[in-house]
Amino acid sequence: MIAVIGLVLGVVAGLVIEPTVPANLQAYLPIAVVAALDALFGGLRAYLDGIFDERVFLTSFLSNVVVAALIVFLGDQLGVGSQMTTAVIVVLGIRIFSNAASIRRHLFKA
Amino acid sequence: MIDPRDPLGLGDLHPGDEEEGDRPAAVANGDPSPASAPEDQRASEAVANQDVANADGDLPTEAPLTAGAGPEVDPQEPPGAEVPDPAAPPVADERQETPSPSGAQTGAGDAARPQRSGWARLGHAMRPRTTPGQLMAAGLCALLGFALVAQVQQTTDTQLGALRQNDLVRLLDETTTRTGELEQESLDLQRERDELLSGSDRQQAALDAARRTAAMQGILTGRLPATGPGVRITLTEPEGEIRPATMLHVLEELRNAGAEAMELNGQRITASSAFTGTRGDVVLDGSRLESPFRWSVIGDPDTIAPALEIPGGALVRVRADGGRGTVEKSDRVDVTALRELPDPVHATPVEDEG
Repeated sequence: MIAVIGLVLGVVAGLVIEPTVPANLQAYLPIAVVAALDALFGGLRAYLDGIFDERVFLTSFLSNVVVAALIVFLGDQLGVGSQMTTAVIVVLGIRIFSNAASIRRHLFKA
Repeated sequence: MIDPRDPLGLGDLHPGDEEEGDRPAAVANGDPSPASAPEDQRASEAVANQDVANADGDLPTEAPLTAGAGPEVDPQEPPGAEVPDPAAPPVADERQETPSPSGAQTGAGDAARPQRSGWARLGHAMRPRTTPGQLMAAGLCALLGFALVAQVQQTTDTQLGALRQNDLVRLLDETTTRTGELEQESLDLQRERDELLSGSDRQQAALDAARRTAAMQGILTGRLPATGPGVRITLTEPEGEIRPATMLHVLEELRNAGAEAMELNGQRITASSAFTGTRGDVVLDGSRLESPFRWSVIGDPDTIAPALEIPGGALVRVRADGGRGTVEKSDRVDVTALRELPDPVHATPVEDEG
């Protein structure tokens, strides 16, 4: 509940403040957001599995974001930044889908 | 520590992150506890899960430590051995007694589903509680929402600004190349258009010239009917008969006076026409002429009429033969008789050397 409230608060804050993303972070923010979404879905699934753990959630959330951004950063340095972005997005998308499927099984028994 | 379930290092996996039977090889290879002792592992896992389930609301501070160690030790049971394994009756019993979440973890087809369903668990999660874990999750979610909105607005605001330098350079290159191609195409099309325009002009001029030539030649050779100002000459034979030489004289006089198209008793007279026959039996181009002889001549009437009347001229010769002639000027004389000309057999036009 508080997590949902926090999400809403974050969205409202973003709408009110209208932040401008620094130029250096512009390539990495979408990756970080997707990675965080992946962590969020993973946490929800773990909660439905009954094995939710705040510590794991925190570390996975942060490490997902940081590692995804690092991978893309490394790709940029190697000259394959856009391809690396695609690769990370694909992997994270697959994980989000699988997590969503598990959540769906929990909620709808199907 | 390298997580065996996540060899790519893409992120930390939650304990229930993997699909059932997703990567049995990786789990089996990297599992810290060998698969030869599945029962022990299963028991410890069940205990850990129960701890987590209890810790959700009851033990806010101590349980995370306990449960945090759980995923490290028993991230996943060997998936292939989970459902069909009949060798773990104590675990199954324990699952039946307590609503352990591991039942839900095995999959939807498990008969030992816990009483607390997914919705109830979700509702339980929705209950407002203030634990450090909840606050932390709220903070992370707020961060996520903030970043999400920022990114969405960024994407909406600037599309080129978010691109990398390489992408921008590539975009610029493509645009430049495309512009060059379009300019080249524009030049080609313009040149083609100019060619077509001038070509049609030349063609039109040639066509006009050919038409004028054809009209002139047609009138001269008698292939085309003609009309215009001229004179009508009527020759009668009240007291004698006109000789063919006299008729030829009249024709020469008309030509000298500038006659352009002539017709005599319905017969076209051209450059190749010839008067033959004898006195009283004049033949023009093979057909006999009957008196009176009616000429229709197109030319300048004020030149032709005096030319015929000059002393020693054509009409004087006619009168000498015993004939009579009248000349009538007219603003409109029609020469409608045509003459078929055979195509030249031996003569061919000289090639234009211009």
